[in-house]
This record gives sequence, C-alpha cells and structure tokens, in this order.
Amino acid sequence: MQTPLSNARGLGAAGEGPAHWWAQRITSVALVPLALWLGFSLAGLPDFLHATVVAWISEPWTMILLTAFLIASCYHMALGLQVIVEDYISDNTPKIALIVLFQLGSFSIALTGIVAVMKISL
Amino acid sequence: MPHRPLSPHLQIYRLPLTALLSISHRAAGVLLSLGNVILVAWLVAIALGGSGYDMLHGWFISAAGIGALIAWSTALYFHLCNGIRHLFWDAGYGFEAKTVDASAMAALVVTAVLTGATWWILL
Repeated sequence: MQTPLSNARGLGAAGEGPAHWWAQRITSVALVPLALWLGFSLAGLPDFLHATVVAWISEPWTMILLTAFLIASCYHMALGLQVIVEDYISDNTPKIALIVLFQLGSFSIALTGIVAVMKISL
Repeated sequence: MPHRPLSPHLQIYRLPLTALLSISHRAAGVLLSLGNVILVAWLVAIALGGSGYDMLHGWFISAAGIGALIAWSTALYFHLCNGIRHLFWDAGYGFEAKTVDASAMAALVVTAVLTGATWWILL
C-alpha cells in the first residue's frame, strides 16, 4: 500500500504496515454494527435451548451476519494479537512463532465457526 | 540476542484515565479473542447437538458461566466504544485534552448503558 506522494517519489513504506493499519480500521468499522447486533440478538433470545438456538442460527439474516462477524472479528483479532506480540516480544524466534500461531489459529477459528453455522442451518 | 527490558509501566506509574482505558482496550481485545474461541466452541456444540450441547449449556447458565458472559459482554461493548474513540483519533479529531477526557467518560458511560441494556433484556 502506497500513498500518492510516495508513489510519485518512488518510495513508500518498506513493509506491509499501512495495509495492516487500514485492514484493522476497516474491520473495526464493520464490527461496530456487527458486534451490537450479536450482543442484542443473543440477549433477545427467549432461552438458549438447542431448538431455540438452531432456529435462530438457521434464519438467513443470522447466517449472513454471524458469518460476517466471524470473518471480521477473526481478521481483526489476528491483526490485534500480532501488534501485541510485536510490542512485547523482541526475540525473533518466539515473536514470529507466536504471530504465525495466531494467524493460523484465527483462520482456523473463523473457518470452524463458518462451517458450524452452515452445518446447523443447512 | 540480548534481552531488551521493557519499561515497567504498569507496575510503577499511576496511570491517568486515558492511559488506563488504553491498556484496558488491549486487555479487552485479548479477552474477546478468547471469547471468539468459546463462541466457535458453542457453535460447534450446537452443530453436534445432543448431550455435548446440554453440558455446555449447563455451564453457561451456572454462576461461573454467567460471570464469564458478563465479563465478555462488558469487554465487547467497552472495546467497541473505546474503538470508536480510536477511529475518531485516526481521522484526526478529538486530540485536545478536554475532549480526550470527555470522550473517555462518554465511552465508559455508553459501555455501562449497553451492558446494562443487554443484560436487562436477557434477564
């Protein structure tokens, strides 16, 4: 990702920093309505018995918004955890190991969640 | 590689409200990350159904479970409200000292309102 000025000068950020910054902001904006929806939808359920939650998840809107929440929150979480690791761990080996672990883990969480939603609804 | 010490910020300095909220924002993020793992575990339990789900459901309605859910919902709304503060800062607004303090208070109040409303609706 490059700013127009950096493009003109032929320079720009050496790494992927700005892209990370933007992705974090974009997922944040998406998560504002999604998180509010999740909190208040769960609160509005009459109970949390199996039949109730299956019916709720099977609703088309729930499927869409829950999947969107999983994607956005897992991406946002992966980026945030990466920043935390980079802030506190300076030794390269554990730092990179943890970052890779968090990236793969976040992806796995998102994937598992989405497949679960599909299995429940379809 | 030499061990590079961190400044012992949290153990030494008395943090102003803004700083306290800043580290809380990070802590809430970590808590929410754990929450996502549990959220997906819950979805998997629903998909598998049966006694596995009933066990998880039983834990969720226990005192420990309700406590965990209250902590999660508080973290969710706090991270959301403080996150909006961050988005304003990213856009370049609200850096004056008085505005920072006012937005800090606003974030805490809105967090309390959202958490309260959610649990009032639930119970």
